[in-house]
Amino acid sequence: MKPDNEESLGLEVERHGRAAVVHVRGSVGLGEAAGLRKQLCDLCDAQCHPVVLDLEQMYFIASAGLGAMVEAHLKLRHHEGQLRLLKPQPSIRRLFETTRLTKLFPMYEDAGAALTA
Amino acid sequence: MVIRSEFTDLRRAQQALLDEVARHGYSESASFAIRLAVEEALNNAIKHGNAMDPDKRVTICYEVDERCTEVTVIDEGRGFDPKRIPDPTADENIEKPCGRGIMLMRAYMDDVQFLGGGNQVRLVKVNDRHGSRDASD
Repeated sequence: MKPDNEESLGLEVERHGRAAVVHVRGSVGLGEAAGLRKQLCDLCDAQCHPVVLDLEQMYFIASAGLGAMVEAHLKLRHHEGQLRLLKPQPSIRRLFETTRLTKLFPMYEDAGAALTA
Repeated sequence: MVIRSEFTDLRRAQQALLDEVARHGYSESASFAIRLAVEEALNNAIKHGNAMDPDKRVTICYEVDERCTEVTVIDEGRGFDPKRIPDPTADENIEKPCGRGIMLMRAYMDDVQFLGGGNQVRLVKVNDRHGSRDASD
């Protein structure tokens, strides 16, 4: 079920030792990309690995949000970390395939697999 | 509709258009495509065209009916040559944080044209629930 307010961005972080799961809710358009960037930047600075983005309740993302994720990918790589995607909606999965960002971000349908792969 | 080069105005304009799209019964995937393409066009107009200058405006013209949605976004910048924008899906560009907007517009809309030296973009999306239609009609 979609959230009542698909426009706002909700970010909730769950730590599993060195790993982190970020539950993303709503939309990551131009107005919200900075919030996602800051959250991912904080996790990069904390040298988390892996960082799993739970996208099950994310219904929209534009290039600004994709850019924030690519920046996080580059930062995480410095300490051999990785950004992974969990349960993207079909429309979001198609967007990652269209941009070929599936090459940078592996996708998972199971949280355990995303954390331990 | 004329808006300032600010993201808050962008959201207001975008929502007005999407309300029209919803009113005309477009599919979820078509609405997603229009939202994405318009967001990218407005982003380019504000950031690159008008260089975030608060004195410059962005003009948005749109027409929505049961058959298709046509949106034109015009900025006050000097324009650009879209052919010179690198392919963001190429291996050498895949790790660049920026540069995906035009590719996304083209991938999600049925017709994308840059006019007026590049400071205008015309976007067309056919309503797939209404049946096929030549976007150049």
